[in-house]
Amino acid sequence: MDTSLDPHPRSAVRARALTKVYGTGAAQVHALAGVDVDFSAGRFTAIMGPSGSGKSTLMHVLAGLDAATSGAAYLGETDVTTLNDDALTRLRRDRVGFVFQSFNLLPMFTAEQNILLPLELAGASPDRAWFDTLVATLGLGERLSHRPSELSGGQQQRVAIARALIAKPEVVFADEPTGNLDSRSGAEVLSFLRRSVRELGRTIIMVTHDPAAAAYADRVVLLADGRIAGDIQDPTPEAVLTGLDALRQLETTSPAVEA
Amino acid sequence: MFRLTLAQMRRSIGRLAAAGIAVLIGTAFVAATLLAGSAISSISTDSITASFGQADLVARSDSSLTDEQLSALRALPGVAAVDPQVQAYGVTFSSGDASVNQTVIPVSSSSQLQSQELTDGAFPTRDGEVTLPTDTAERLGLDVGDTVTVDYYGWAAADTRTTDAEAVPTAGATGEDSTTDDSEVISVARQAEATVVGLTDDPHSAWASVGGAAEATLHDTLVWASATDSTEDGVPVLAASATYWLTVALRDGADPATVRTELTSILSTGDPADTSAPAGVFTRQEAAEQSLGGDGGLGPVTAVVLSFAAIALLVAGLVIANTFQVLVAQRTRTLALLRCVGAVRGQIRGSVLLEAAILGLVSSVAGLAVGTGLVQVTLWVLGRTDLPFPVPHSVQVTAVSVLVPLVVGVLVTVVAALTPARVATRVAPIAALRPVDAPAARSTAGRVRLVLSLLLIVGGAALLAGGVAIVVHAGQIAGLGLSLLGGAASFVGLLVSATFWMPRVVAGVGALAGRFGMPARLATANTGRNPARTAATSTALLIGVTLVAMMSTGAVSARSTLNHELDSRYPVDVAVGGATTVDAQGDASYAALPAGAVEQLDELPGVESVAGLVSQDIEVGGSSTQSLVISTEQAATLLRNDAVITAVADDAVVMPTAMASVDGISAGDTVKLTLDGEVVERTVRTAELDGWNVLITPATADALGFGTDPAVAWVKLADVNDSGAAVQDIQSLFLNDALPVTGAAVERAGYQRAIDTVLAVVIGLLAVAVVIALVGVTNTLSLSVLERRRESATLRALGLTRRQLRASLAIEGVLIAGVGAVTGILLGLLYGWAGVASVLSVVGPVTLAVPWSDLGLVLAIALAAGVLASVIPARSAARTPPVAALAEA
Repeated sequence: MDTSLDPHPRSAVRARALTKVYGTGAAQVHALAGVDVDFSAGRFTAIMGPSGSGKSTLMHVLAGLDAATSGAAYLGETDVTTLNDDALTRLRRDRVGFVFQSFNLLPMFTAEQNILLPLELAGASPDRAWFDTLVATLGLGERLSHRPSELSGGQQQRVAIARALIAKPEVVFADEPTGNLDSRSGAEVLSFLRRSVRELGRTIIMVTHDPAAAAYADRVVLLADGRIAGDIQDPTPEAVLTGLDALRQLETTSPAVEA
Repeated sequence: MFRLTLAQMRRSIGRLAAAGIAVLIGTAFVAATLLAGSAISSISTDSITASFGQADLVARSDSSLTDEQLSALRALPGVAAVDPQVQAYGVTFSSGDASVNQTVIPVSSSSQLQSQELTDGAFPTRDGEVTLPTDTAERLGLDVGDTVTVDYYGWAAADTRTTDAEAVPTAGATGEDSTTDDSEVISVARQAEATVVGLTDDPHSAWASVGGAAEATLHDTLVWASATDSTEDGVPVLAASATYWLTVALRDGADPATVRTELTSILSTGDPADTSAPAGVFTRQEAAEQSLGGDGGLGPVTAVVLSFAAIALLVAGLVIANTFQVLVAQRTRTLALLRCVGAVRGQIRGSVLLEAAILGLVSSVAGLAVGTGLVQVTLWVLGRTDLPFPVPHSVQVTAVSVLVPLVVGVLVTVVAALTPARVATRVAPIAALRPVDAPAARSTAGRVRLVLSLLLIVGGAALLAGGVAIVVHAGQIAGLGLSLLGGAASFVGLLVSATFWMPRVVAGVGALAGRFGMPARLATANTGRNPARTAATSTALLIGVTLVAMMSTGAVSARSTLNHELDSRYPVDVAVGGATTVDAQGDASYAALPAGAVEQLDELPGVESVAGLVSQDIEVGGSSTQSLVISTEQAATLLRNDAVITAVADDAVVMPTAMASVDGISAGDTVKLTLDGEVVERTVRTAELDGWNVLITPATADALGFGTDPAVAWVKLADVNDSGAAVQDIQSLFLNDALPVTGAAVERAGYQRAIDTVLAVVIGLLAVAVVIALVGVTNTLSLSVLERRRESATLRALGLTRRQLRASLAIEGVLIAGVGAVTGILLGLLYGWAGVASVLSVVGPVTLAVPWSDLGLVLAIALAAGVLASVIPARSAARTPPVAALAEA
């Protein structure tokens, strides 16, 4: 709770001159063309941008899911671009949480088993009080023994959020968490994400293309053509839309963008 | 639809190939069996055809051919020559130290009927002349003009046994008696001399199966075959040789039809006393097929081998069914889309079945090629080795050997795909519009199946138990039929119901394994996701493993049951010596062992202990009996029957129970032992001994004034269950000394060889089914990995290491294979024991044994294969980048 009130929060995640290039020669695409950005701990940050702006790539690289071409990406003081696969796996297991667009719950496990999965993978014993807090906060008390196929989309995503938070990771990455949900369930999920930042002191970085979703965040980072193109503090849907419009104008007028 | 099917097949080529291998192995098995069967049959047919020489016709009489019939046939105007197909077995030719056991046939009356070729000299024209196969003559060191000794059996009146035989049936025969009895004729060893007049070659391998044939006159052949009047050295009688076949050469210009009629009428006595086959006249080819029973006598063997091929194909069918179920599940979206754009159910079903038919055809053609290739390679290899029969240069590809594997392969594949095809038709068009997450083939196991299989299991088990009880308690071998039926029914029931119980067993075992970390728990959870598929995969393995374990358990139990019997009946592993000579007074004396024999035996590997025993005939309570002298220490180190060991004592004489009861003596009686006037009194102890001699100790022997030269060596082997090599060593040690080698080990070696050979062949054949099942395990795992690509990626994103992912799949493979193997082993044990109890209870009390090493090996192979099966799927799963988890479904 204290961290959210800290006027000078430390950075949970940092990117320095981060580039990611796909393909070679004429087919070369600069998904990330030198990104410098800091994400504060205890904040809910959204990354926005048009399709192909590199927002997903940025998240993948920051989360250690994908390798960078050059530059550095820090999780706390660890440069994830220097880690090998096993170290990255451990980093994801112990220090990062994920929420996916299509939930990605394991169908053969119950909700409870799904939530506890990261701890099981680490061989750690669950913190029961924390588990109960998460379950209560996310309203999953009645659903713990259900399998994913017996849950609605919104319920599945809440299970996924609990799974992402159970190991108390330094940061949770959410990739279009409302993309597969109707607007009501989507709003519910976004409130939960915000509550987990405000009330539970977690750090969340969310990729979305929905201005309404982005407005739930404390801060919106705008991305275009693999570069940081804007930064909105305490966004409203209108502010986000304005920002996006500005980006589009930039795109249509910029001669550099042809591909 | 055809192009669409082909396009879909191209997309799933890897999966189909894995399933195709299962069919390929099965059809290769069938093709190889058929081709090998016809190759072996043609070898036998050719050989028999060759034995008819160049005869125009081959005839068979309906009862044993008589001399009168032969004369009548020879008198027929159209017939140039007729020869009966007499064979004398068990005739020994010897010269000096060397001897050869040789089949003798009568020399042909016409060169046209001659089956062998002369390389030197001439064919016999008079009694007392023989031709020998060239290599036999070589081994005997004989050449044309030399004299050879012929040993055979003839009849002798029992009361002439004390005098040398006077009747001389052939050149210089002398008699030598063996067994004794009163008044009637008995079979005795006879010896004759014959002159080698020619050497023969067998270019067409007519007699290759018996190592070539010597030729003599019909008279000598009949005498040597013991086909004589049953009086002292009686005259030869053709009818006594039980000959049915004869070869016929026709005169030029004779009308074959007339001759056939005449032959048939002479050969039909209308009194088929000892055969049910009617008289007939055939060509050489027809006759060869007739005498082999049409199919080269291979019918039963081929049928048995084909039944193993059927098991392999059944397992292949399970693998195919699995593969198609997954293919259909994976294509749910495509299928739904097709339904959306107007494909009717029939077309969908047709497409799946067409795919199966194409897969079946391609795999069967490949299997046919592999099977044919295997037999061809075998023929080439055999053709290059020195075998006593002609090996065909190439396989005889017949319509049957091509069509049967193809049809069977395609049928099995299509039938296996029937259920998946039905599932495919159930895909609703709407499914195309829904996002599909982890497609799962739903188990369609119904109530009917459950009830039916329960009936089979319960009824079968009851029949099996009843059958075993009948054999064990009532000693009625009829119970065996019930046991067989019950065993088969209950096994089918277990297989059919595997969908119900197998997943639970897997889950149970998995729950135990789950304590060893997350990968194990993941693996367990994953095996529970597709119960039907897991069950089918494990069941495929279960079939082979059950049968292997059953055979192995049966063999080991049979062996230990027989061992128990043999241990009590034959306390001695091997007895060497005991050759007797009977003098004119009818008293037997025992030839002393050659000098150094005991030491030589002691040095053989596999011999644990050996002792030379003195043997002499003594009077026991008035009747003459052979005695063996054995000390208590020797008894303890040499004998396997504790009852006999404890019975041997200085104040006792040990008698076989059977002998004691014949002589009216019972245990505890005191009897007088007498030898040349010396008398001692000893207490009788009886024991279950198979022989007809008594055991006394050296102290008793000294008191009676025995000699000191050992006549018999008793040998204890280190491992009586692995006695084959040791017995052969012992036999070859005394090859030229004519010392009989007897005892339990000799019989055991025989049983052992028979059991081991059958077991090895059967397990080899069943191994094919196990291999196919293991292909199935790999296939199932590969398919699961493909299905779970996104899940694997999610787990990787959540922190599952590559090693953990691979471990999880390895554990899944081990679970599937291990449960199949363990349940198979348990079932095999039960069925094996039930089988042995049904078959051997009539022999004696059955010992139920567990073939630990064999079962351990089966389990180890299954578990290792489970791990191995996971290697390739695990590699592809571990390659999945964690980012794939974020991709849209």
